[in-house]
Amino acid sequence: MSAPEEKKKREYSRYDQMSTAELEQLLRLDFYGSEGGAADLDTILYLSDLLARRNGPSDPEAAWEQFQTKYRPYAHGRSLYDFEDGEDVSPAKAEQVPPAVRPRRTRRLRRLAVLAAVLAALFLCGMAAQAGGMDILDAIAQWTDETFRFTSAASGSGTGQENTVQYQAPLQAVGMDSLFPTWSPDGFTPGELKITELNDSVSAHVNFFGEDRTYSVTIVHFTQPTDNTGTFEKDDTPVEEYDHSGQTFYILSNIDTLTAAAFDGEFMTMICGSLTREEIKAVIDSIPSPQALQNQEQVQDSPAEQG
Amino acid sequence: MTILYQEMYGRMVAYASSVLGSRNLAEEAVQDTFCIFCTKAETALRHENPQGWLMRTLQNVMRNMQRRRAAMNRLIMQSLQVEDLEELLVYDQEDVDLLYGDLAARADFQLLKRVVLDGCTMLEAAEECGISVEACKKRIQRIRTYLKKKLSDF
Repeated sequence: MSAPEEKKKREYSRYDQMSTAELEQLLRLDFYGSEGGAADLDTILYLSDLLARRNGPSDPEAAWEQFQTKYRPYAHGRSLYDFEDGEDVSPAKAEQVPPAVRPRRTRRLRRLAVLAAVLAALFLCGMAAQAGGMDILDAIAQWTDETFRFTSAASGSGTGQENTVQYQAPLQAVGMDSLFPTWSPDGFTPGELKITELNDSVSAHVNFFGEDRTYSVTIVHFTQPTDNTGTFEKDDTPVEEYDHSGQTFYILSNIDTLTAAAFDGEFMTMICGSLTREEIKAVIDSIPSPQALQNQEQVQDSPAEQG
Repeated sequence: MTILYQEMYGRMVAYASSVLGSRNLAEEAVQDTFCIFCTKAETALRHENPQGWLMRTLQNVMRNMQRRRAAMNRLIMQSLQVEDLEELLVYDQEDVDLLYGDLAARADFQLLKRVVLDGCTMLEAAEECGISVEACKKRIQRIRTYLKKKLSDF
């Protein structure tokens, strides 16, 4: 094997170790982060091939038959979604071809590696984001149901509001200050806040480190309408629905980790890591409710009025 | 062409599924890509990297698909907010289904909703209505052009 081939094999081998969900998320991040098609096609082909092999046999014969009978007879060189009105798409771009030789390949591989790092940070413990199979409109309808619940007793024994005070300004700058949990279980200390801006989303991510456990809080703001929020890996433990301030968190188990996820059609909140159910619910309960924020404002206003 | 299709189909569906989050839409994007390939076959097959050609074309097809679906989603939402929706959904062009104009408009609107809000592929929506994929595309094109004009008049 030649030296470049050997090097290429080494570069790609890192992807073999990633989970299917991570590979899918990587391709998704690359696609949305590369308007104009700057990504390295060899790498995309490699990842796609890896996924295709993991997904098991497709049925190209049946697809070919469908192609010949349902699609090909109507092929006129325009995409099904090109409506001949020249609006916001460029049909001519559809057949634009990349050069076979890509001198910037190494840089692009590095770029994918950076995305892989972002992915790892975003989805700690091998979990990738997703509100699996949930229709946005249904989800919004479902989440409008109000519920009432007392705060878990465990929430009184944690770190308290110091958790996110240091992040208040940057979170406020991206409109997420009222969405972030203000409590963490005893023994956990927060890491750095990481804000990642992509074409269609802004995400804020913080890892919390305990003595022998970690968990993370990630909030993704989808700045454009999407029905594609990713996929969570889970085991066969039933999904638990947990209501907090009228919003339903879905608590998913995956072997030794728990993920709580909620999506209101615009913001997706994910709490993921080695936490007990009681702890993860207490973390959820520490997200300020609109009523609590209102009460807080009233309390803050009162002395001023008296003064 | 057949060999290339068999070789690439699985990979392209895997890639498109990752990006679009829907196996059905992914399959349609791949079929759509091969439709474009057919019309450019001479150039594409002679290309030094036909697999790369297909993947790049698939990327562009997916971008078009997403932009269009997002734009149609906005159009539907805007339409649903109009108070006189019934009035809006009546074709008044003389050359369109003169006798059944209002019914045709409503049926097309339902078709548009199936594709955009319910996430159906063009093929699924076409088969539900017992029409061809091309007819489905034409009907969607017709209703969206009509709605855009009507909404701009409101």
